[in-house]
Amino acid sequence: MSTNLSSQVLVNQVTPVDIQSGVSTLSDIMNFLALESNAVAIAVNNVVISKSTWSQHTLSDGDNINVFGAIAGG
Amino acid sequence: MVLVMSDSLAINTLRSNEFNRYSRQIMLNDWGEAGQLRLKNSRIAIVGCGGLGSVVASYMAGCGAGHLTLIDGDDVELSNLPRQLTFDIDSCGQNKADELMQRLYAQNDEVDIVIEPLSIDSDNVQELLQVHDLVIDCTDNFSTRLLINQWCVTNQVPLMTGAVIGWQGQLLLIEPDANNGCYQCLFDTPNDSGQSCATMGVNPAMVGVVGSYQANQALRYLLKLSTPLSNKIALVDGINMGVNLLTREPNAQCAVCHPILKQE
Repeated sequence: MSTNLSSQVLVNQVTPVDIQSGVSTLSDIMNFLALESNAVAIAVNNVVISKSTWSQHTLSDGDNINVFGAIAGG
Repeated sequence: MVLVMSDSLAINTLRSNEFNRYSRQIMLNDWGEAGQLRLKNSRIAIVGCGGLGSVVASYMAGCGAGHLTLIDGDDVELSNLPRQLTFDIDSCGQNKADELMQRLYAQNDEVDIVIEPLSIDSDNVQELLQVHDLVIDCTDNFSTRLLINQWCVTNQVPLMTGAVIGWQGQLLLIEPDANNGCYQCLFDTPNDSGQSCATMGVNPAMVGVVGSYQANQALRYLLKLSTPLSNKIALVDGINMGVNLLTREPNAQCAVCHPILKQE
């Protein structure tokens, strides 16, 4: 019997990302997925995380991550 | 300093024709005559009289929000007509705030409407926005959104901001003293290189959806009813018909609201 010990988060409901060495914080996720961080906000489990703490925010298995950009149309 | 109407100057009765006109909303348990009087005495600035602004303003005037200031320096263009339903072909070339005012008076001539047919900027923002109970941001660019946010936070005037692009919308309410963060806490360095209707496109029906949500929550705020937008941002998804409410928190490094919090 095999056991899957990897931890995984889901980005914008469609992109699973394994938490691994070098990919454990919100900043790591943005770099890993090569996402633009300018004018972008991130919520983890429906709570927006300040950009100033992205590099310290450690991800947990099953976290639901929502990356969204500012829009300006009116 | 922001001046608001004192309670002693507030109107405290409704006329019989107002009871008749607003009867379907007054009958709501959490609206009532008291709520209608709150609306009648409210002073609302609507910045941007295009897609969102024309929807929001129509509901505010229709519902009897007593004093509206419409701010927009743009003229109506042909490409506006699919989503800005208060305008028609004869509106093209006319100032949006002026055109909208005329439509609103035809809808309800019992509200007071002031128009400011100019673009808001750092030189005139104080003059344009002071003496309002609520500012509703319906503008179409980041620099103006950041300016309005900064003024409202600094002067402690509530701000309801809405935005729409493509099939998506965003809504949030920034209340003085709520300590839930401001627009710049969320989006610290946006620029005007994209993400407007002119550059990215927009589904006209989404403008109606987001504008209606914006008006609905603005009315709840004016009626002193609860709104999730006080501490959340709403992401409106027009593809899957969903609204995702995300809890907001202040950014300790926000250049706008963090210095004010530190003073208190």
